[in-house]
Amino acid sequence: MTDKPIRQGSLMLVPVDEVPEGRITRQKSAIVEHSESGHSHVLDCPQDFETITVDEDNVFVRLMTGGVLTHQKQAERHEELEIAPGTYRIKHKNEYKPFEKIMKQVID
Amino acid sequence: MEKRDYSQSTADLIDKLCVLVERKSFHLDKAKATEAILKTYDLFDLPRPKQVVWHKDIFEDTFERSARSARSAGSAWSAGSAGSAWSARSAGSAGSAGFTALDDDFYWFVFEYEYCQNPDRGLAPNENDQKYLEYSQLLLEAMEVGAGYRVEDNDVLHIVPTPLVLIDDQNRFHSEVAPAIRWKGGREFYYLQGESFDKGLWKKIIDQKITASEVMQIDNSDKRTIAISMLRPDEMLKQLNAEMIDTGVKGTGLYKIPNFMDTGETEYAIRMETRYKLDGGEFGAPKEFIEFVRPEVGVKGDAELCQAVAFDITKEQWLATEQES
Repeated sequence: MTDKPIRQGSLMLVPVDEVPEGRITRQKSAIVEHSESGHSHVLDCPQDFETITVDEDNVFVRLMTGGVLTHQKQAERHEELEIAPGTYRIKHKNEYKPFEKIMKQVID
Repeated sequence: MEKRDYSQSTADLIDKLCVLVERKSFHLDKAKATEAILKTYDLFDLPRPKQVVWHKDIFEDTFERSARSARSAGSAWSAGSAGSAWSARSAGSAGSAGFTALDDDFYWFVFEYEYCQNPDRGLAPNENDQKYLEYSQLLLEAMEVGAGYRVEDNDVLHIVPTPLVLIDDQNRFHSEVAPAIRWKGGREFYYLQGESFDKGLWKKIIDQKITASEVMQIDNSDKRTIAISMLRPDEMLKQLNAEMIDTGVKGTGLYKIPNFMDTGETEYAIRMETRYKLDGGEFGAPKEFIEFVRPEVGVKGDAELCQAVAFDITKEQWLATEQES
């Protein structure tokens, strides 16, 4: 259990105490940040963990046991991180595009 | 949260097709490619064309005329490929051309292949499905030995070799060292992050020699963004006359850019570095990045706040982050 956020590149797992109601799926492995290039951030746990999807912008994971966060990239990949049991909100980094004046998700 | 919902053998087929598309070179075997394509006629009991003509690229007039003619005639067999070739040429879009070689057929090949593995209940594949797979397999053989496009017109089969294409890790046409699309002995096209550039501009960008005013002369905003983003962070900040206004406790630099690209507007950008693991598992040298931030956040002059806002978290949360990679 940690009370500090965990960051892997453009992905952040922010510990939370409560989770709103949402659709729950259980799995041992899931992509927590998708990349069209296949360089996704993947969370793996030895036991099933829950993904709670409230809506597109509100997705949480609940780990009963520790897991590992991996960046699926051959070269120039972010280091693996061990994730303590707990509940986390998934946050993605966004950057500003000055020509278009829009925010766009950072993809690493 | 995603899970693959197709078979491993279909995934293997897709991988095989990707390797073909991304190959660095190939030995063109015209005889084998021609025979493979002609066998598709045999498969459907169609008469083979009387003549076969090879072209160096899809921009040769004779091929273009045939493609247009076959398309107009609505030839069931060749219209798909001819239509693609003609569209690619008429739109002046080499980008389309790069992936519309025999690939149009392969999209269907993949769908059909997967369907035959996992058909709907009560709709088992029949002999027509099998025939389509054989047809696709013949086209794959032709592509493996270098065929790219084929059009039949007035009993003449026109064939063009496949172009060599280079793509980045987001599957966009991209190369900083060579044309991203080229036909051996034929036309070449230069791309960065999926956008085409003429050779002169492409060279200036990759050589870090483009100036801010030259960037501003690029009409297309996507291309402008790419041109500036291709510059090294130090070169980009120099070109933009950026002024550092804050360095955060975690090392983030915040820059103010007055009159950004002659727009009269002030923009803000953060500069940060990341250490990646390389192929062998060892750490590489730190790599620098520039990201723009919303002006209303940048104007506060707090570099680490900009990072926090980019993640939609509080500055306290950002500063409390210990596990990072």
